[in-house]
Amino acid sequence: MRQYEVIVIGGGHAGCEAAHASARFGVKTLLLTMKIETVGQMSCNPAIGGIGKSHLAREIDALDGLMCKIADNSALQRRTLNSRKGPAVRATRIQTCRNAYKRNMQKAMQEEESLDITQSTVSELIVKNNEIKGVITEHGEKIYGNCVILTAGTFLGGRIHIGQKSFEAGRSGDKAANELEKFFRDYPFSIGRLKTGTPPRIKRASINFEKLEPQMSDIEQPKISYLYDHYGQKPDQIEEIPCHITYTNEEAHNIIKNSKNLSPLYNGTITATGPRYCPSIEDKVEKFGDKSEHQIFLEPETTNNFEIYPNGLSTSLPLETQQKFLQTIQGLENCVITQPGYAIEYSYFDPRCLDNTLETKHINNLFFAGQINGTTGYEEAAAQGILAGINASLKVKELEKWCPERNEAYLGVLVDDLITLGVSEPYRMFTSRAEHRLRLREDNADERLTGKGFKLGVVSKKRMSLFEEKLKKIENESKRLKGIEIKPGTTASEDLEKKLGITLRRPQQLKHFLKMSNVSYQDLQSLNCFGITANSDIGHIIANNEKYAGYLRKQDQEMKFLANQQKLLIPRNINYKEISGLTNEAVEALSRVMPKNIEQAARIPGVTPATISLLRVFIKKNNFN
Amino acid sequence: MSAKDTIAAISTPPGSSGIGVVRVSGPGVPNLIQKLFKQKLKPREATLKKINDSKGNIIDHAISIYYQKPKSYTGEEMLEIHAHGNPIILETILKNIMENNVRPARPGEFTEKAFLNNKIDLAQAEAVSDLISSRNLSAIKGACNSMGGVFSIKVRNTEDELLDTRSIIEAAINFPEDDVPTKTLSLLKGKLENLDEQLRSIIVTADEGIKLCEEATYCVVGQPNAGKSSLVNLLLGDNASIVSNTPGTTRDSIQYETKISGSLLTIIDTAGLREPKEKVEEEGINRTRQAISKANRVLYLVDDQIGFSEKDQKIIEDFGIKKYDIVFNKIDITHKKPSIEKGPIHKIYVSVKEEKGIEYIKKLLNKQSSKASSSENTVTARTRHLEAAKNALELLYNARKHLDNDELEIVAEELKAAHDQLSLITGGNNSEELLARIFSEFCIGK
Repeated sequence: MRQYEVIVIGGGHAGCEAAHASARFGVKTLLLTMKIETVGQMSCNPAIGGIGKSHLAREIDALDGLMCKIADNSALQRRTLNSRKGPAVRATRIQTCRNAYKRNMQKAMQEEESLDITQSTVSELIVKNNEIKGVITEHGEKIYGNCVILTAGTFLGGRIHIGQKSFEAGRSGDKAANELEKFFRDYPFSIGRLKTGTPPRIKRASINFEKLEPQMSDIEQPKISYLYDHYGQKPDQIEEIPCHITYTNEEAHNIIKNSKNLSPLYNGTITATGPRYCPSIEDKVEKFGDKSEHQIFLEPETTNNFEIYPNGLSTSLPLETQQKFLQTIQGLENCVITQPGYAIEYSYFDPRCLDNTLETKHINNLFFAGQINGTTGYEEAAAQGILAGINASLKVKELEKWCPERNEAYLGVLVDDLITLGVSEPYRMFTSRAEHRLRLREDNADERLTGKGFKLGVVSKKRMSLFEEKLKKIENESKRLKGIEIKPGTTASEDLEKKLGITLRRPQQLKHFLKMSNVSYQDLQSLNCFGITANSDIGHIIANNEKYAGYLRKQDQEMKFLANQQKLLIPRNINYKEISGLTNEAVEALSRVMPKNIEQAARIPGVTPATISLLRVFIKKNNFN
Repeated sequence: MSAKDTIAAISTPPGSSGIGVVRVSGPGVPNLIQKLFKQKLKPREATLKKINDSKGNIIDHAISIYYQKPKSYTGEEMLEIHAHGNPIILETILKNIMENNVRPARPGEFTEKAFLNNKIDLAQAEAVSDLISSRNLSAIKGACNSMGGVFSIKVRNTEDELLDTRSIIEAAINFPEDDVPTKTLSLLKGKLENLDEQLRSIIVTADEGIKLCEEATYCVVGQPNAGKSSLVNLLLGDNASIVSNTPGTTRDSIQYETKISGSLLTIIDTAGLREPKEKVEEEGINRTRQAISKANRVLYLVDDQIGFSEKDQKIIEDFGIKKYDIVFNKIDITHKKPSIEKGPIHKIYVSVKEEKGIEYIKKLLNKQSSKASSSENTVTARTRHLEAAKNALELLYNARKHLDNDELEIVAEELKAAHDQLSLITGGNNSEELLARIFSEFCIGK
């Protein structure tokens, strides 16, 4: 009989982070996967990061997670998005070699001492008195565990659609996990259906790149992991391969329009909701009929560069139609499809069945993470994975569970949105979802999370000391800039006026100028009085903090107000029906979410200020607090 | 909602009365007293104090009482100012107080505080909880309704425009590689200027609304030469003040405030209604339309020699006049006795020239004006709205400054805050709406 402390089901982005985080705690962990060779597989586009997503990825990295390190060591192209906008909304994106990513991920997993990996499909969970005890595999083997983390991705009840054809599958070439889905139908989980899609893959040699616009890495070669960005280490260099840009055209649009009845999205075969921000080409042509072209990014998939991923062309049209419209596009005239695009429908759990550590409310010690909670995207899945891994380990160690707040991390925003609002389409992170966007930046995720992660036990000592070095550098440089003072009427002030156009009226510390919207750290470096420093690599972080300082102070005040509301806890055994004056809608919404405190309750759709007043009075009246 | 907040409200019903009470509760009260009176007040001692407006003019002498915590209604530091019951005085006092880090109380909040500080018992609390829920809803509805819907439509339009502007910025921030044309971004400056104008107009409306809604408003309407202006002059007597007037034209609406038998009310004299022949007249008719929409009730005046004609009926329908009474003037010529026929639409027979039957109108106005007054909450709610709109305007100003510096993420921050302020009025949650707007306007999806 096998016995583990934490069992993770699924070896995708959520599963890997969950299992590795748990193993970093020194907790005896098992990862169960249907196919060992697909552990760490990138099922859709071959890239990590992007706006909102890189923000999540950096937080995983700050908790010593795998995603960013592996992406940096598997990079084909590196870019900073929004480089001309403010630092809070800048984002790193790494195009990766799909094979290198998978290989590096599997290597990292195998190197972890407390982690075993077994190839097996789970068909049932062992539950006693509403508490998880272990799993039963399709071969009937019982494996016992204190906590189980389910990260089944699109495999629960997965069904692929290509044109009129449809079949059960978890991903192209992989079978679905239908037994397990049936198991959950006996529990009060609310299961819904969502849809997503992926574009056809194209044989690289069949594309004519000559007339297409290439897109290279940024000259700065940005890195996504703090190890390589702020902590001075060097990632593996593999190869640089550019992306290329091409466009659809009227002819392609006509072919797509005329085949609309063949698309399962439009002929009624698929009823589940897909993501609005990642529409199929059918949707783009239908909803934005006035546009004569849509941009397509031809992204390299691997270093051997055999296949190309045409980003922007997700489709579920029949293979022949895919071929037909692709060949009207410049550069793709003679293209050969290596894998057809498809739509996939899959089951997800209404995430309102979870608490903020991703533990289910119906079965103790069972955690859900990743796409089964209604999210989409590698980074969203991995972020949930690491949180579930951390909390399963904390539970094994009988320590208090942990989740960052909305003002501490995008991870906090993600989880809070999921468990408070539920989902109506696959949930993706956008920076606009974060109230504290100016605080939750790419440059400070480690300042927000690494110290906390170290205390919890998920961040290694080595990583912590690298982080502390960075903090020290920031502190020293900050002090140094404060120490340099420019006085009016000196040569230094003339230099300042000449180079930065600033006229000085009274003596000013050098650091002060960073508060001005048009002054950067590099600008200061150009001044004669700047002096010498070994810490210029972290200078931009000081500048970013100065730039937003006023706004962060304002937000601090708001946070104090929210913190007060968060102190007003709602007891878990509250019966909302007993509160006189609540509308049925409010009772239903509150009962479903079971908010932890008044502040969370106030954000539930359908809960009005009047409801909150009633709730406050009820809680106070019954001396719950 | 924090116990650390200091809150204030007018606690007596709106409209004129002998005394009106402004209440303040919270830890900021001792400081506030120092600011207002330049000295301390002895707890629980009624003291006569001069009350200044924000420019330092004395506007009233009022009894002020300081309650030291926990011996007060709410259990917190409290101040009560018993001023003369003129709504303008009370609003001025309230506005003055709110400049000192005090926010308007939510409906029922004094009672809620009293409960939370264990000043009232369980049975009372049950009653309170019912009260709070009903009050909150009615206060919001009431406030919007009483401004004739014009206000809430204005706010909603501005919110919509704000959502539009934010969706352009957020799309540019979140989807830089997608299709957000630079042309759309170049529209931002104009859009922000437009919003500025709209917010200013909201503030004016809210300000007017606060004045108008505290008292009953009547609009005198009718065809030319029915004797409207003479009737209005007669009703006003000597104690009227012109509130707004464009001199030299009878085509404009003129608004007066007056007291009739002790009630403060507003009377609006309008231009005579006939087919417009020129642009200026059309303008006058538009103003009459606005005046009608502000009024609680219309006095429709006809010449008794002609009687209530089809044309009058048509005017009433065309202008959407719902609540009105008909006054038949010039009975001195038609030789009728002054009288009133009561019904859903009252008919009153008068002679303005001989000042006969006017007491019937006055009685009617007086009765209606006490009906027009509503609960304390509508006033509080409206003051809160004005506050929110002013905050939004300030945030918008910051946004415009940062747009000039090309700091899009900060513009977004300021606009979000401005949007949150406006949402306090209409009560919406914006994050999802914003995403929906982005995806419907822009083709996103690399």
